[in-house]
Amino acid sequence: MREKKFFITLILLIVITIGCIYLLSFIKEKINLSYAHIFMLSLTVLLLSFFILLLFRYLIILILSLLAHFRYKKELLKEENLKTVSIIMPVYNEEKILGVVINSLLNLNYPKDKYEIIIIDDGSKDNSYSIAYQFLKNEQGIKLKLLRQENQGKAKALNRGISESNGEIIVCIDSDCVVTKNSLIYGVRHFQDEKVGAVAGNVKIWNQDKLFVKLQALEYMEGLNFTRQALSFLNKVNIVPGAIGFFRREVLEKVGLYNGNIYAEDCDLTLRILKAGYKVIYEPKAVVYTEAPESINCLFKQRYRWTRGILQAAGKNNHLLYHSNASFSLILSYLLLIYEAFFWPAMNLIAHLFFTLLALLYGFIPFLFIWWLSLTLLDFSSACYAYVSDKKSENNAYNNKKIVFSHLPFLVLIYRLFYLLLIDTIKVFAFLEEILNLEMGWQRIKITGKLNGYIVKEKL
Amino acid sequence: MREIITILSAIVLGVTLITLIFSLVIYILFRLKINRKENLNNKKIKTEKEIEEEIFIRYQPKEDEKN
Repeated sequence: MREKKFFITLILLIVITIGCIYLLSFIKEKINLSYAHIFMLSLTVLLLSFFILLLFRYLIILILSLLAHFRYKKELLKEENLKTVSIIMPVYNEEKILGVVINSLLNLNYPKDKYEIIIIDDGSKDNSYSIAYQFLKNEQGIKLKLLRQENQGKAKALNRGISESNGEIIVCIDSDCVVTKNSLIYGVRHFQDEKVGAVAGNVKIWNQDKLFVKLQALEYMEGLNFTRQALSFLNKVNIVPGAIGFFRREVLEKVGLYNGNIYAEDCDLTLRILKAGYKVIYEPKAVVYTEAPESINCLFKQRYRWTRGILQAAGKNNHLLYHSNASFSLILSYLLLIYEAFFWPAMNLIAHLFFTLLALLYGFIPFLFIWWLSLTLLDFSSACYAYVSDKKSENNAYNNKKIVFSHLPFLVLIYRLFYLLLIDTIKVFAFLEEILNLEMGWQRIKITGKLNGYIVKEKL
Repeated sequence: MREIITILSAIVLGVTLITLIFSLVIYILFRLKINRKENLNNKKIKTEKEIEEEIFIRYQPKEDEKN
């Protein structure tokens, strides 16, 4: 099957190449231009069309996000209508932060008899197990199960936790994420609608004391959460983040649990839920605070894994495009996933290389500047909107060094000039490696655990 | 105005070039690290296999034992 696909792709590539050569010679005959000029001209047209596509993307996301904002319901459910919840948290070597995370789970604003916590120690080599053990008998009287297994990976640990749980709603969280008090009550209320299969939470960064981390916080706000909010209007959010995701138990039983063979197991599960015809929405007030990588090396590892994982998940679920349940919004959501993971980064990188070459070879410097300036302006406008709409969900207890509005212009400037170019390069290399099927590991990120000293006191 | 644009363009060009080269270097280092890890793992697996084979050979019953 794989060989067949490879040969079809090869034949298609040969046909396209022959077609392009024929077209080039035809243009050359009709218009008296050299091959170099034709190449430059076609690349300029290509980049221009991609820029227009990007403009459309920003516009669509902005409109959808605005619509989602107006449709957003603030009402919470009465206590008797709240569903039972099982919080599943796999743990692997998280001794530095685990105590804080479990404490945040024990103090959630949710009826104590309606939720349970299941911690799966996935063969930790540090004191994670003994730290979690201390919370088995907690003052709050919340049911806490602690399971231990040999290291089998996050997906298998999550699946074991789910199989041992009893709640109607399954909440999967990462063990380096501190959950805010009202997250559960806000996330669970959407399941009153029987068609809702999953809800994505809002992931924020708390260690924003370095410029490099602030740039990541801006990306979370302007890139990831902003897109999620827009797709939420269509009920087709394409990734329920592993950091905080709510799932209806029956849906998981229907579509299957996490797949351990894919590095973005959260994306794969979300695509399967969408394919089954369920709604997947985003709740901006279900907030978790996570620690972002503080070094370029760690960021590289993280994004490399994300990109390859998303490509694996998208490739595995590509039949979703011609599935009987495939609506226009579902196809749009799927295409946006691929566009963000590969097409746009590749195009941005090609544009930068092309304009740099133009500048170095022919001295056309302003082209690169215009390209950069127009993208920076687009980023700035969407960052302003995302900042204002995201501000309500901000919690000062976890984040006292958050982005200030007056810093936005400066941040966006560096964001586009340096940060995004770096991220796009990682994505392109990750894509190429995925195509070449090169070996990759999980690429674990180091956690500093500094959050222990950060928390002030969360308001009720 | 034209001079300002030229200066700004030159800055953008400089930063772009530096970032591109920097990203490439980081990627090469990253790949080398993964390859090194992979080689180490392969060696480890190979050694374990060799030990298993050695044990197997060592405990092969001799001809007279078989009888």
